[in-house]
Amino acid sequence: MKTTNDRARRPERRSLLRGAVMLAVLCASFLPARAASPAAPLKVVATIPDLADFARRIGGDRVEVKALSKGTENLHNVHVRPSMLIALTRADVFLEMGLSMEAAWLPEMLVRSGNDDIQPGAAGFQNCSDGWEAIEVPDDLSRREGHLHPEGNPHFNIDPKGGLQMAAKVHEALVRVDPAGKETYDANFATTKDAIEEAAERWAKIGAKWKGRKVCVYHTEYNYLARRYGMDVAASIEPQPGIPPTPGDIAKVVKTMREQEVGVILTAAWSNNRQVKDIARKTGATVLELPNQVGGADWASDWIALQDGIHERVAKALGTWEEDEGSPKQ
Amino acid sequence: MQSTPRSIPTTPSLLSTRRLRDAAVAALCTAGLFAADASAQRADISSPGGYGSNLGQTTRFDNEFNPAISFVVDVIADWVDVEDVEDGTDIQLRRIDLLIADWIDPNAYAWVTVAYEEEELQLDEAAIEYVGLPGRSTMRFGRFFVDFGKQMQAHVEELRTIERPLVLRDFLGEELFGDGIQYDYWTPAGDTTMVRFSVGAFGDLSGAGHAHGEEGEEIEAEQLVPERKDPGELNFSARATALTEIGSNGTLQVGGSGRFIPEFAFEYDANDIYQDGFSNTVFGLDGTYGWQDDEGVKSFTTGFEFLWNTGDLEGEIDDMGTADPLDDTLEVIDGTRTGYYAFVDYGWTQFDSAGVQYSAREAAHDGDLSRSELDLYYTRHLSEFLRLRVGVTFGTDDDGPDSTRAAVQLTSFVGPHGHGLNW
Repeated sequence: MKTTNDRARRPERRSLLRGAVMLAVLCASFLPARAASPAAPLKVVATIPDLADFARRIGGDRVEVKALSKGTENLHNVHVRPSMLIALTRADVFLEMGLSMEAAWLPEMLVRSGNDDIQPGAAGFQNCSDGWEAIEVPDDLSRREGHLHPEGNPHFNIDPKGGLQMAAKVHEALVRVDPAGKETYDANFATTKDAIEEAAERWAKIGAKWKGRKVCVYHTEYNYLARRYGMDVAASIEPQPGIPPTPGDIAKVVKTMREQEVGVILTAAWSNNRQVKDIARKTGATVLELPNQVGGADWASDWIALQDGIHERVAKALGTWEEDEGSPKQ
Repeated sequence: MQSTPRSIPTTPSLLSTRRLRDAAVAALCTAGLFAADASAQRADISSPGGYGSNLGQTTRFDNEFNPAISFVVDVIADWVDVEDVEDGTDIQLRRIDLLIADWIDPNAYAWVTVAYEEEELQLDEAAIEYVGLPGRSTMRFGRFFVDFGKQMQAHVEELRTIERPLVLRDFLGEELFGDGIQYDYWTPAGDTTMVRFSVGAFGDLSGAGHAHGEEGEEIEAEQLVPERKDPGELNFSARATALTEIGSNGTLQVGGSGRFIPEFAFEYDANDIYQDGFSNTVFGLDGTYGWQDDEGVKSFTTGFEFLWNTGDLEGEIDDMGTADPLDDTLEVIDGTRTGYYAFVDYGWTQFDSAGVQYSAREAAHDGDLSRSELDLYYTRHLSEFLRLRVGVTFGTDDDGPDSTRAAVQLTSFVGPHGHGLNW
């Protein structure tokens, strides 16, 4: 204890403080800035593996691609990791789904990346939903309606026609940032487009038998698929998007499913599948757990394989599958 | 303007003088009108340059560019039993935070947080973040939470527990914000590791609601940081941290923080005691490991922070055994005291998690005495923006009564709400 002023040690502390601050500033000035080499492959960062798949297809050897989220991950709840920020700070091209799909985890990272080349409005930034006609655009923006996306349902990567949209936007971005590679990108895009269109004929044939078939969904990610083929989403386990169901909500779903004889529940790995199984037990419905991104299952190695697998599994669950309808590769 | 009465004869020279005067007045009035109009749009009170010669929006009555507004409501119902002292229940609106935020221009954004707590309004934050610096540097100006450890940058209702860990409350204050400037920089170290540091200079970091020790019967002198000081006597903060990935699902972070008050005084109003020349520093060392499964459903987080509180810790008033304040004397306790907290959290769904936290610290007036809190808590997210928490806290105190608290906390986040990266 002391009872008088003791200034003897203050000059030492101040010197230490000044030294620490100067050292920190000095360190900052010597840290290396990002160096771009024209010979190096274009660094492309995509928020989801589906976009990364198209970037690899169209970019070929001219690009080095990284997807931020995993194929299994809930896109509303992506675990932010250091490698994401590091990839963004080095990126030449950034691809996002848009429609506020990545709103919960991306914007702050984008700002903190310090990479002017990929900020919204810059040449390297690509919103892949530009020009896409979204479904479920809310009339009234109120949280009473749950986790709303103001511009509409963002899960268009599950729409069989979403592939062409994503591929076109990826192609657009690559050509804009790297015009020297236009010939390569054009050729690869043409090949990709052909592959998608060929597969789309296959899927249309399978999906044509689903018109009017009733399904139950957990979340809204399969609504594009259902709407594309005229399926009837008779019940949704989440009362509103992102809102966990109460026992009362579940009872209503069970009642609806029984009344309307809904035989299939479409759900994702990250949904509350304990509740889903409970509902299936009460209604006798088949639970179909589907990936909603590339890499979400062993068989969903790329976007076309993802769609092939989804179509096959939904058709089997609905009892419409015929063995000769699958992809020739399968 | 007053007219000339017709009944008064006038000479030509007088008439012309009056006409000249009237014309001059009219001209001045007209000029004045124009000037008034111009001043409404271009109040020439600011620096020239920019649109309309003034900062701010040139259209005064449009809402198109209004900032985002949100608020948080935090309600607590609790039962407290302080051994041999008091027990009982209470329900209180603990806190309301009103947040206003928006981009100023492409390179800067600003936010203001006004908190209502204990029947008082307080400005917690009003700051500008400038992100237009080259590379990965940013600057922050204004009033904002100090970058110390992992839990001091957020409002209390946003934490994993109902209250901030004991050691942080006692060593740094309920909240630690200051008016100042902070520089941030981060850099990659490989593909999966990043290093970040920040340094800040502030006017006063003595801490809001600074308990400065145990809740004993001693009378404490108030800690005052002088308003005007030498540059070297500004209060400083510094933090360095590294984050790396452990496997494909884990993230490990280690960090070190410091808060420096090079000069402050103790004041006791009752008998005008004022002594300056004191200083205090708090150092912290923290580590956090987080894991999340491939689906982003199950999660596990564990972490700790160890703190050293060193320098002049507390000013106690000795009343000399008399009721007369004029013979009171100040005793300043100096030395080093340590404390820590550690926690484990587990989330088994996206909406449910539970955890345990233990925090302890040495008493300022006697390093052999300590105080601790054990928290057990369960959190249920009723939705993305509504959170229910149930917690029990067991407090033990070598120098005072033990306590138990059971609390239910309901917190709603209304409107846009988000934070920067928690690093």
